[in-house]
Formats: sequence, C-alpha cells, structure tokens
Amino acid sequence: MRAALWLLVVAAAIFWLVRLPPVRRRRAGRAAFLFVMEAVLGPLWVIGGVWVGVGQLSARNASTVLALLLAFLPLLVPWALTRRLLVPLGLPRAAWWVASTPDGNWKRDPTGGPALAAAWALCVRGNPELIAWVEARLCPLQPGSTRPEPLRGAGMAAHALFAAARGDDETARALFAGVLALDRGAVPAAARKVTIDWLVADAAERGAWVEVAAHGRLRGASATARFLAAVGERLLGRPTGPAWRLWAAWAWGGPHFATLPLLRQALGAPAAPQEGDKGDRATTEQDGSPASEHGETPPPDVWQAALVRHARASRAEPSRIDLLATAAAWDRAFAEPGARRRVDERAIALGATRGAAAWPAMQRQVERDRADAARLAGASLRPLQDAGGVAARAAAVLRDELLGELELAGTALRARVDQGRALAPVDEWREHRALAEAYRRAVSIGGEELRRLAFSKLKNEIWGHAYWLSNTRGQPTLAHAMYAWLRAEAEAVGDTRAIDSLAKNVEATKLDPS
Amino acid sequence: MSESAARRRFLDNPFHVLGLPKTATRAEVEREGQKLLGMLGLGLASARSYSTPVGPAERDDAAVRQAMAELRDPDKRLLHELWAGSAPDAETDVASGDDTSPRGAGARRWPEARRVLGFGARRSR
Repeated sequence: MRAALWLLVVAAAIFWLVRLPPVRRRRAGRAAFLFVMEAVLGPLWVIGGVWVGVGQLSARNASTVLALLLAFLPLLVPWALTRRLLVPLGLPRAAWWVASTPDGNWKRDPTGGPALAAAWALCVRGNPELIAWVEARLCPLQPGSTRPEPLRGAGMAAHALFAAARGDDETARALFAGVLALDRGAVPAAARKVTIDWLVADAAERGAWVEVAAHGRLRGASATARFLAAVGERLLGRPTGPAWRLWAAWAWGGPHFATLPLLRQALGAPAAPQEGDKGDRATTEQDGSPASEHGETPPPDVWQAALVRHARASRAEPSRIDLLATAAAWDRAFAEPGARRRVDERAIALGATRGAAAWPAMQRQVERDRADAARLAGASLRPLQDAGGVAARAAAVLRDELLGELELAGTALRARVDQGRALAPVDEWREHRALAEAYRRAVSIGGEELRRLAFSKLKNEIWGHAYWLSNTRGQPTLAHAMYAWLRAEAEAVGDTRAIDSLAKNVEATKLDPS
Repeated sequence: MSESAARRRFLDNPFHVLGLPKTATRAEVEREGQKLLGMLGLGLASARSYSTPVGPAERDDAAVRQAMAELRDPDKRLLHELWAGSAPDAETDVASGDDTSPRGAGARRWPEARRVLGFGARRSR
C-alpha cells in the first residue's frame, strides 16, 4: 500500500514536470535533482565513506562500496571535480559534461557554468580541434526556442576564457571587466572567483601591480589573488603591515612553491613609495612651475623653445606639467612681437599666395596636437581651461571632440536598435561596455560639466538599448546592468526624473532568485 | 595614435627628410633631393636614415620625392618652415628606445602568473 502511494506521488511529479513549459521544466528538474543529491545521495555517500573507513567490511565488499562512492562522486561534487581535475588536465568535453550536472555553484547561471568549464579547460591546453566544439557551447539556445539563453556572469566569463584561449587577451580583459560590472546576483560566486583570478594573473604577468592590488582586494577573490594583491601593495610601497601578514597570506594562498620567489621579492621591496603611475604624477605635478621643467634652460628663441617642447611632448606620454608648459611656450611664441609680421614677410618672399593662412593653420595644428596630448595623458580639462590661451583652446577642441564621439556612438547604437539589428548577447554587452568606457574616459577628462552634457546625449540611447534587450531579446541580466549604470549616472548628475523611472526598470529586470 | 600625429609632423617635415635648414634655396632643395635619390638608388646606408627632433627616421625614395614636392609649393613650404625651427638631433636620445615600459613596481613582471593560477600559458594570436 505504501509502495503504491509512493509510486503515485512519483508519477504525479513526473506528469507535472512534463506539462511544464520547457524553461520551467528544466528549472524544476534541476531543483529536484539537487534535492535528491543533497538530501538523499549525499548523506548515503558519507555513511558509505565512514563504513569503508572504519574497516568493518571484507576486502571485496569494501572495494565494491568504494567503486560506488567514486562513481557517484561526479554527481555530488561536479564543480570540485571539474575545477581540480578536468580543467587542469585540459579536457574541455569532459569538463563540460561533468559541469553540466546540476550543481549549487551554477544555480544563478546553469548554462554558463558548463561553458565556463569547457572554455577554461581549452585555455589550459589549447586544442585547435576543440575550439569549434567549445564555441558552439558558448551561446546555447533556450529549450524549444531559437532564442539564445540569457547571458549571465558565468556565460560571459566563458566567452572571456574562450577569447584568452585564442590569444585575444584584449577581448578577454574587456569581457572579464564586464563580468565585474554585472549585478552580483547574476554572477555565480565561482565565476566571479575565476574572473578575479584571471584579471589578477593577467595584470601580474604585465607587471601592472596597481591593477593586481585593486582586483585582488575585491570581494569574492581567491586566497591566491588576495596574496598577490598584498604582494602588489608591497611592491608599490604601500603600507601593508608587518611581514608576517604577507607570510600568512602566502601560507593561506598557494601554490606555495611557485609563489615563493614572489614572496621573497615582495619582502625585499623597499617600503617607500616608488610607483610612478600617471595618477600619482597628476597629483604631484600641480604647480607647473618652471623649476620642474626638467631643469633645462629654455633656448633664447621663444619659437624654437616652443618647438623643442612640442617635439619632446610628442615622443612619450606627456604629464600635465608638460601639457601646461608646452601650451605656455606656444603662448609666448604666438605672442612674440614681430613673429606674425616675419611670417607675412616670408610668405611674400616665397611667393606664397595663401601666406596669410599659414599663421592660423599653424595655431590650429598646435591646438590639435595639444588636444591629442591632453587626451593621451588623460589630463583634466579644468586646469587647461583655467590656463587660457593655447591650453584653453586645446581644451575646447578636446571637449567638442569627446562629446562628438559620444554622440556619434549613441546615434549608431540607436540606429541599430531601431532597425532591430541584433548582435550576439556577449557582443551587445561589449558594445555597451565600450560606450560606458568611452563615457568614463570623457568624464574623467571633461569633469562634471561634460558629464551632464554627455549623459543627456547618451541617456535615451542606452535606455532604449536596455529596453530592447530586456523586452525583445530576452536578456534581462544585461538590461539590468545597463539600467543600474544609467541610474548611477542619473544620480551623479542629479536627473531626478530619470532616477525614479530607472529605479523601476532596475527592479523589474532583477534576476529572479528562484 | 593621437600623439603620433604630432610626432609625424616632425618625422615627415621635408626639411628634416632632406637634411636641410629651413633657409635652403629651391636649387639646394632640388640638388639635395637628387643626391639623396642617387644614394638611395645605390643602396648607401648613410642615406637610409635621417635625424629629427623626435628621433631618427627611415628615409626612402617616396619620402624624398614627397619632400621635394612639398617644398616646391610656396604655401606648403611656409608652414613646413614654421615647424622646422627645431634643430634636428637636438634631443634625439630621449626619444629613441621604448619608453612605454612601466617604471618602478611595474617593471617587475611575473611571466608565469597565468600558468601558476591555472589558466595555462599566454597564447599569441
């Protein structure tokens, strides 16, 4: 009687599952599988392990139970097995299959997790024959539909690892940075850890310890990433506390043998600040006094002096002091009494019919070059505007250029959305990130005034893009991140009407925790 | 990218390409241009490079012909004269060499980082 009742319950559950829509059916199936694994098989597995461990079984029975325990291991801890065994061995197919087993690690992104495992294994041992196989698993379609699955954190990290496996580090870097920009709720913890580890490793490989220190301190970083962040801070001469903390971080992290030389290097690093990065230079080089102009005596000829400065600034990434000093040198050159007259006389001597145009042409070229240099240096426009003369005109050129570029990018995005020209979800996200990065760069140069103008130019375009992604393309995670970005910017510029509407959009596209 | 426009302004200046002062006459320009073309034709190493305020540059037939053409046009020559004020070789040494490498802590790279953290070796495209 009891068995019949159980059979009835199971049959009713299967009937209910079969009648569900494909997406919900899969979700319910996963949940049921996880329940059986965690509530039934898990405890049984532990009991079996204890049974074998106690040694009460005969050798034959013990080996049978042991074989059963090993056979069920991939069902119980699929991600641990994938992460510790299959990925290091570089087996994309096996990694994908095992990681496809429903697992608590990928609850937030069940299709992205296996793709991440496969791409990671490909990254470890690049097998050209498997590239197409892995690529086909990066954009799975929804069950019973031709629409791609919503792209979430693990899926995006899989795309990034795939790019790294093909040697496209720049794309990988941008996509991993995109993972960190997504809502935390849409990024499984395992995917976040992989993302931070990769960014830290990439930065350490390039010697970019500022980035290592920044990424390694993010929440969700692995112990190794945190150790590398501590190394980075030590190498940068930042206060890191006593040496035993570094030893402790090393002991907690790993792999110990491979990171020991790095630990020694960090312990031997001087404590005094030694980082010569741009940001530091920008804060220290405030005054623009002639004493800091490389200790050189300017040539007597002001025109020559301006040219020498211009040439010097065009050879390497200029600092703000170079920008201001070069602009000031040009101001002196253009204001030199008699300079304009000498050019006009020379034009007559050469027989130049448009000689009068040479002077303004020269000024435009100088301003154009100074604007380019300011952009390259990432210098703030405010000191240039305050300096007046060539510096201020160069700042105006750069400001117009930055706004024009953002407007152009926004117009192109709107045209694409209006025409319904869809890109792959990951490329939609990359386009948004590129636009957001251009906006960030422009704002860092142009300041708050440019921020307000730029936001008003881009707001509707990005809003439309997010709406389209959410309502037409079935990509709420990407839309959510875009709405959140827009809301943060609306708050920054004080656009109260937009803040209220965007708050509703952010809430509406939030990932359903179930 | 952006700063290279300013750099190219110096590298492509016809007076620097021909190795002449901005006071050179039209005849001197023609003579020097023909001489350089002849030397390049013979493959003489001394003719293959020239100095500029932003460092040495490679010279070829096309650059010499372009420089001669630019200086034949009085309007263009006037603008090139304004940009040619800086004496070649004035500060070439700082310019030469790769100045893009990070300084300080940035110079300490850890080439095994990706492999050690389990991502395999870096691949070139």
